[in-house]
Formats: sequence, structure tokens, C-alpha cells
Amino acid sequence: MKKLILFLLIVSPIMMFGQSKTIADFTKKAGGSQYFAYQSMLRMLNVDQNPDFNYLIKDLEYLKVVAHKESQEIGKQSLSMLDRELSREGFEMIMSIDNIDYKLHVFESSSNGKKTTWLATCYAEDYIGVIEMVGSLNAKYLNAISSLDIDKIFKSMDFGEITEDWD
Amino acid sequence: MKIKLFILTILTCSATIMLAQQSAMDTYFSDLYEDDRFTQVSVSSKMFGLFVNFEMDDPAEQELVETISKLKGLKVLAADSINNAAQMFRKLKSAPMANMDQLMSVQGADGNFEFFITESNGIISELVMIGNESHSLFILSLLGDIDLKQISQLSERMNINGFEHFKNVNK
Repeated sequence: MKKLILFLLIVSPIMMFGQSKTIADFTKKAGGSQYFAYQSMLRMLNVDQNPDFNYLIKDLEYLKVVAHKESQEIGKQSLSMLDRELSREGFEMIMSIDNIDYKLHVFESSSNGKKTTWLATCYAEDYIGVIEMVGSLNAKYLNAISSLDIDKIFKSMDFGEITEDWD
Repeated sequence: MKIKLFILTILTCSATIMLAQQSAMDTYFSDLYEDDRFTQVSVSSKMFGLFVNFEMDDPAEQELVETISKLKGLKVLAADSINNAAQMFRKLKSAPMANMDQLMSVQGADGNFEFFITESNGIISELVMIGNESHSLFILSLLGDIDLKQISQLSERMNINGFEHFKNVNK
């Protein structure tokens, strides 16, 4: 009985975490740049201390960005494989943008009582990447996303500065 | 024999239902999916359904959110460097589309637009817009249970080139 309780205590936080196995495998294999931020860290990236930004991320558990350099051909194949694995895992593609130069696919999973997990797989400019977000954003404050210092995230991932704005 | 007939009926019905759920984009313009000059955008009903729980302070924004939550899908094919865009536009707009009626045709300085709908009892289940401006060409398919008033409201708030022509549709 003690063993069972111990097992449940260990396993339940992992289950609640909602992390995708496909993404965990991708992270291990990728060996590229990673950025992982919990809510407290994200609040520090609130570049203009916008109070709405804190409301926006109130129910967000964490945000993870993984990316590595990949040639266009292999990158697009890897992206297709990732998408197939995510579908097998029960994720549903809810949005896609496909172009000869870039691809962005957004997935969602809220099954089995787990927290909602949002995933975006993308390929652009010789980089394949995944963004994983567990929890939810408060849409009422979506405009406050512009307060996120995305440049700081990319700098910490050794991508240098990005030149395009979020909007 | 009766069982065979029953199975055949079920198969025929399900094929009809599946066809009915396909967008005009899939049925009539799927060839363009292979054309890498086009950017493809697809938004599923689940994505729109997520808007159901959104609560906005501004009643106008809340109305927009409710309108969006009733949409069942969006598909866009867009290209901005097509040499024979005008020729392709003429070909696309005259493509025979069963069950779709032409709603509106706009020829203006900001481009040419053709609008088609699938409609029953005043409710539009699909809206297709085909547009052309200079070397740009785009096709948009919007699925959902939308009435003309809602389309008009959407047109005022959605920043989609060509949708502004809907603001007079209810007048």
C-alpha cells in the first residue's frame, strides 16, 4: 500500500504536467537551443511591466521553446514526423500555415483531465523548432503579449536578435 | 439482400455527408495545394470553438468573439507573385461550383473580388471569396452557420482584404 501511494505521488505530478512524449524525445535528440520558463520567469520578461501581461499568463504553467538548425529538406521531413507522432499521441492540429519557406502547425490537447497543452511545430530559415505551452492564456489580455521580451528569449537561445515584431 | 441494401444506403449516405462537410476549397481548388507559390492557412472548428469561453469587457468585442466561435473552419490560399494572376482569377471564378451561388462581384481599384455562398433558409454554411489584385491571388473559404448580419459584423472587424465589401450587404 505504501509503495502504491509513493508511486502515485511520484507519477501524478508528471501526469499533471501534460508534457508531450514526442516533444520530450525531440528535446533530447535536438541538442540545440532550449528555453524553458515558468510563470515567475515569464513575469520577469514583462518588458514594460504591463499589469495586463501578468493577467494574461496567470493560468500558464510553463513555456518551452526548443530549436535546432536543420537543412530545409531534413527539417521539413522531421516536421512531418513530429506532426504524425503528435497526432498519434492525441494532439489535434487546430491551425496550420504552410509556405515554401516556412511552416507553422499548432496543436492542442486537453484530454484525460490534464491541463491544456498547446504545441507549435515550425520550420523556418533552416531552423526546426517546437514551442510547448502548458496551461492557458487569458484571451481578454491577449494584446499584452507585445510586452513579452521575445528578443531576450531568442538571445538566450543564441539566435541573436530577431528583427520582426510579434504583430 | 435487405442487409446489402441497408449497407449500401449507409455507405451512400455517409459519403454524401462527408462530401457535404468538405469545404469548396477542398472540392474545387485542391489542385492549388500542390502549387508552392501559394501559402496555405487552415483553421479548424476546434480552434474557433475555443473562443466560446472567452469573456470580453467590451460588448462589441464579445459579439465578435461569439460570432467567431460559431465558425467551423477557415481555409486560405494566397499568393503574391503570380505572373498570370488575372488570367488565373478569371479561370477560378468561372469554375463550376455545385451548390454554391454567386453572392457578389466587386471590381474596383483595390482589386477584383467574387463571393460565393452555400445558403439555406437565410443561413450561410460556406462563404468563398476569390480575389485578385495585380500579381496577388487569393481564395478564402469560411465554414460555419453564419447569417448575413454576422458576416456583415465580421467584415467590419476582420482585417481581411476584400471583406470590407460586406459592410453594405445587409443594407
